[in-house]
Amino acid sequence: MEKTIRDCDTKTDEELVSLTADNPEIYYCLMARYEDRLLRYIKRISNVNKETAEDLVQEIFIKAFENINDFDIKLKFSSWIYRIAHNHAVSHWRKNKNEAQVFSWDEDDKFKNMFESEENLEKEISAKLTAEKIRALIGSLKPAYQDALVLRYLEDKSYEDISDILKKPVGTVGTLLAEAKKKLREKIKKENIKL
Amino acid sequence: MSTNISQKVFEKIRKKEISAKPRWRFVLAHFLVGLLLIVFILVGALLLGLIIELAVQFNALEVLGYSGGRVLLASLPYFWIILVLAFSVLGVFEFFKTRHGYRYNSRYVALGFAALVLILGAGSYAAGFSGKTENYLEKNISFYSDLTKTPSQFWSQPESGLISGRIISNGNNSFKLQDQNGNYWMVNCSGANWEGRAQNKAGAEIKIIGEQTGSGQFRAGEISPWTGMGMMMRGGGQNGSYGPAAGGYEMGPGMMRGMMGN
Repeated sequence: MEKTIRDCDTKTDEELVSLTADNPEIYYCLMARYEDRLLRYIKRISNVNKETAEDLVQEIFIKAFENINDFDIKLKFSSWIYRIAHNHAVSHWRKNKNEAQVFSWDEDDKFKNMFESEENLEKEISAKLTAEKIRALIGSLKPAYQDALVLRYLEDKSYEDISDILKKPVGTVGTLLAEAKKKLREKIKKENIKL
Repeated sequence: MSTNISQKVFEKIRKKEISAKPRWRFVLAHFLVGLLLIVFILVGALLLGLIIELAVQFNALEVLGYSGGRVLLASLPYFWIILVLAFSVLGVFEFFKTRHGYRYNSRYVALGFAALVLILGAGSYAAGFSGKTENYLEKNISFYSDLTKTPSQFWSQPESGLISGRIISNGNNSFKLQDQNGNYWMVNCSGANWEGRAQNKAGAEIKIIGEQTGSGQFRAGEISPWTGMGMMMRGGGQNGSYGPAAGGYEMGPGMMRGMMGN
């Protein structure tokens, strides 16, 4: 196992996927690479505690392993596993939707990036953003807007990656992000939050 | 890098002997999605071809000019139209189930699908396939005429100014016509437009847009050749029977569709 892990370091995700078919031990390397990222992502898009998030990630890894032969080589592995994670989280949410949903994340300040193109605003946000208030406002947005914002500004995904993860056209992703930012701006204004 | 979860999953995979599903299952699933998509496109195109075929056999534009659309509206092949729309919607949904279907804008996919069905439907009509299908359905499917108005039924509405049949005898300004139900009509054709290959001669199979002027009397406005694959000879007309022995006419091999040659 040690040797397997060492061998993995020089290989890309996609190379590891192709090797997993012959040697399932290689899959361990892929899981190790994505464990933290997926755990964070699941916590960001779901209203679940740490234990449940870990259970979900385990289920996601098993599901991905079972379906590894369906991996599309035209996609990035990260997009593929994020898609499985997103769908699994949504499915979990549907089964437990009676529980109140609270949007959560642990790197709130990363959201300032969403206003990067707006020079003055960025400076103001960096200086005055009240993370708790903004957090609550984002949590009140439609799930589709939350998904887009999390993937773009917390997971640092490109439009193409978000398109592959959410299975939406790139143009729709752009529209979603623009609308999400607009709605958020409106809410900030309505709540009279000074940025 | 935390590997706690990875370790647990790896142990679980080993202990429970979880294995990856074989590749052929995914290949088969993707193949079936693609196959279904092709079926939806082809069926949609075939149905659209049938609609074009019926519109041509109904002389839709000419009838529209005469009746203002009332007769045409009552005779549209709604069943086929609904089916074309249903298959088109199914086709678009099926497209989004394909591996990379989600990358395309739904509006463009719908437009592309409509264009493809339109092109293939027009091709099916132009190649004569729609005509043959329509003829086959009319002859072999007993409930076909319940689903949609057939050309024979459409051109047997004298009260709406539509009749069709074979010229039995002819004069300069009139002719005697036996319609598809075996009824005889004296048709006044002075001032009528003779379209395409339609001619005032005995044996000619024609369809007429005009006006019923009395019992067995009709004034023709526009006369076209019968363009169907052959007239449907139905029994039960005024004579009670149909065909040469009953004084009617037989299915003519010359009643070939003229639409392609017009």
